[in-house]
Amino acid sequence: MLSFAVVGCHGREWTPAFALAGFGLAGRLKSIALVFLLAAATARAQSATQDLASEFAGRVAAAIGPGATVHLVCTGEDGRTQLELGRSLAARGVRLAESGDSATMVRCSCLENLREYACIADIGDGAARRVVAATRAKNSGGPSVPNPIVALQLRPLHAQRDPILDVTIAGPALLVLTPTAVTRIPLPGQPPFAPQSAAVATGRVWPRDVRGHLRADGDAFEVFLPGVTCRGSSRPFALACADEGEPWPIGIENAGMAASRNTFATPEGFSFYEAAPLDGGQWLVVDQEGTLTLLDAQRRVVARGEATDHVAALRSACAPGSYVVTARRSPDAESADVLRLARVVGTSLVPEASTIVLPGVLTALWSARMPPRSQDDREAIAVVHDMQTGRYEAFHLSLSCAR
Amino acid sequence: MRRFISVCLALASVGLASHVVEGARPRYGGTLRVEVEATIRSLDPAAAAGDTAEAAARARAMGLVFEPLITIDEHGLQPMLATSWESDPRGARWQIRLRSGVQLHDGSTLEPWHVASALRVTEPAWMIGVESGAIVISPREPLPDLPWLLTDVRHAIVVRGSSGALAGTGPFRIDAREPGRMSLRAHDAYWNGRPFVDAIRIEMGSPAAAQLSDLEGGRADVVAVSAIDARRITQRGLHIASSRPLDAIAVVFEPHRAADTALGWRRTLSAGVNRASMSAVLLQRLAEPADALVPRWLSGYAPLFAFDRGPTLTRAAVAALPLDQREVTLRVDASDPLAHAIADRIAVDAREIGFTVKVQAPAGLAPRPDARLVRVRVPNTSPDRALGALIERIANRDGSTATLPPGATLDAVYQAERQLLERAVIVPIVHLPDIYGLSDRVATWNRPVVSVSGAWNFAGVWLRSGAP
Repeated sequence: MLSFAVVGCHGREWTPAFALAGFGLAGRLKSIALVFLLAAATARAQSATQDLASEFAGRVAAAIGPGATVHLVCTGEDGRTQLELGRSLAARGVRLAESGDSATMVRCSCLENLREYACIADIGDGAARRVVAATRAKNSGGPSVPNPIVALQLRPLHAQRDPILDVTIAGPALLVLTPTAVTRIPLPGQPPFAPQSAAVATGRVWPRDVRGHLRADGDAFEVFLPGVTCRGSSRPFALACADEGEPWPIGIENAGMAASRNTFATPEGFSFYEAAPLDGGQWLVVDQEGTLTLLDAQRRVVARGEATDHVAALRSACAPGSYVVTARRSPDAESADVLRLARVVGTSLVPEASTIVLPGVLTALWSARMPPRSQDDREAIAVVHDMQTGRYEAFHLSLSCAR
Repeated sequence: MRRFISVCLALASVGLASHVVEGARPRYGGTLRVEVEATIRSLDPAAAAGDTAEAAARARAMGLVFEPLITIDEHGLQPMLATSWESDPRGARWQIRLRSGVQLHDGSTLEPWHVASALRVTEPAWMIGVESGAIVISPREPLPDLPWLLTDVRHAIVVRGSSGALAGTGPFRIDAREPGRMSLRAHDAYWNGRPFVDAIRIEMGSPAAAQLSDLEGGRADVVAVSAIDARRITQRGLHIASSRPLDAIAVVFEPHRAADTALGWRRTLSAGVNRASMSAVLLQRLAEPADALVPRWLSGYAPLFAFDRGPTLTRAAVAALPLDQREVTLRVDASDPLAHAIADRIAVDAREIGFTVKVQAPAGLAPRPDARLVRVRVPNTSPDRALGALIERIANRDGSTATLPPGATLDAVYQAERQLLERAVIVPIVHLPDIYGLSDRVATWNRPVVSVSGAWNFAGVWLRSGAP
């Protein structure tokens, strides 16, 4: 188990690549950039302009026509507008020239005025000159609801030496899943009782990177392990397992985890490690290459982004919209992962809070719904392996808002 | 991440360097002493201003007493006395919800019918009523951008008493009027929090030099200053507050110099003006170089105009021009020393490229100039309305019929401005903010003394040394 943790999450090596642009897949992948901007200054303005960036690129590309060669000159102090538009146009088959000779000149800027966020392009010269604009209105309807400042909230739930696969709350108890047992321990603030354990009875041999998931409904709970499903009760404490695989409750249709694997597969056969369901029937998943991938409602790949080890969806009534938390290895620490919170805007991820460095390597990230939160809230459980102390710690992850 | 941190540090540095936002706990009391050059004859939004100077000063003072339904800040439209607004798709019928519990200066509570009555005075052609507690406006023609129109000071809500007294909802009420002076008192029941100062005394008709002297001598707290005086003020340990750019300075060629055949000639003169240097040195970095008429923060597209100014004449071609084409008479407003200084700077730049610019500042009759240096206030509003106002004030003066419908899309606004500027008859030079000198006593709580749109945020000002 230790060796797995050292090698990396799900047995994959950590890839430092930071892919910004999407690329084609089987002729169906739309060339939409999935951008994770780390240099967020104002998330509100940024999300609006990010949202309009792909629309703007599409309009410019349509005005130019496929296969055209353009010389792109955009205003902007850091060249980001030019960079992003250039990438998007290139992905749409537009050729970019270094100079204006024999190329169509495209001048562009992305700014804001009091009325809207605006990207505008002035294309060509003379009689063939065209102007293309994409705008997003600012608040024009009246009551100005302060934009919430959203942050990740981590609450430690439990720590132990044995590997933790998942935890959940069932009645007044915390259930802790390890590769061999489910343990029932008292929740802080609840009447104490002696911990109880029930073994996971199976004839299967676990894969090296064994993964497991708990789902509780009141006192009843279910355990999902590769090729094994268990059902149990917290009061009285009991557990019964069968060597039968079932779909796992992870927010996307799947056939469960194969007995000797650590991945899921969609009914269409697309393999992935983790999935975050988004509003509008889409999903962000970590695919088998460790790439953050956007699936549409038909579970087709829409866009691909950066290398990521984990993803989970978060939602709170205090912050409308789809949020995801992603994790990858910290660039500053060999044995620690960082969590990043982002809001999903169209096909872009807009960072919403500073990164959080975990006290170790993240070994599991599962969506969870923990009482007493609202049914609409979506939270997550994160399990961290602190390799310095050799202990595993489970955290409850949620969104917190300030206005 | 590193980049994000550096942005934060940069912002923090700005905050530390700024005078206007203080960390100390504010103190109540005292009288804020303000001086303006114009004489404000009336604060009634329905009354016409005598001239542009009075209109500008009146708009600022009026904002302290009377409030509109909707206002503008750097993020766009914001609720003021209204809390929400909505319309049918065409903008033919608007429904506006009023903030509840707003107390007028006379102690009564603002009601929807007060608002309807007030708007009927300034917009008699509109059908204005009250339905289910909401104000319902049906303009004569559909107005899809009516909320932008309602931000104008002339639509501030004024409740007229039977005695003719005017009551508003703003943070200050009119206390007394004497020749050359207006006194305002804090409105204790102001809906957005009682102002820190007890009173504001506005001295009117004070010349610019006298204002500066009073500020330096400790006899005034807030005075209007010119960009060219900014260094003098800061060198004396006083402080500056400014808005975003609100005035457009432009050269406008006279009809006899506006022929299409002279396009290259005009472009050459335009390209010869070193706007960046003018802004940085002469105007103390308080101005923005302008390639477009509408400032960047109001248009959202202004930098596109910097890409191409069109072909210009070579130095040799300029030298080969007849003498009368190498000499340009530029007229400036004799009462505007800043415009004169900018014109002088244009003359210096023009000499570098082979032209001779004679600056003419006549007090009376003078020979016909070739161009005028104009200074025009750009309304802080949506880009279509901002450009529309400039077209009305500059371009249509010479009989041009260019128009821009309210609610025009941004590409239409951009194309209209490009069309306006492509003949180089109107040549933008710089954009200037409203600038104020502040005494050492002036401190503010949370918000700057002057907003991005130039409005006076005196309700948030507190005085360090107590009452004078």
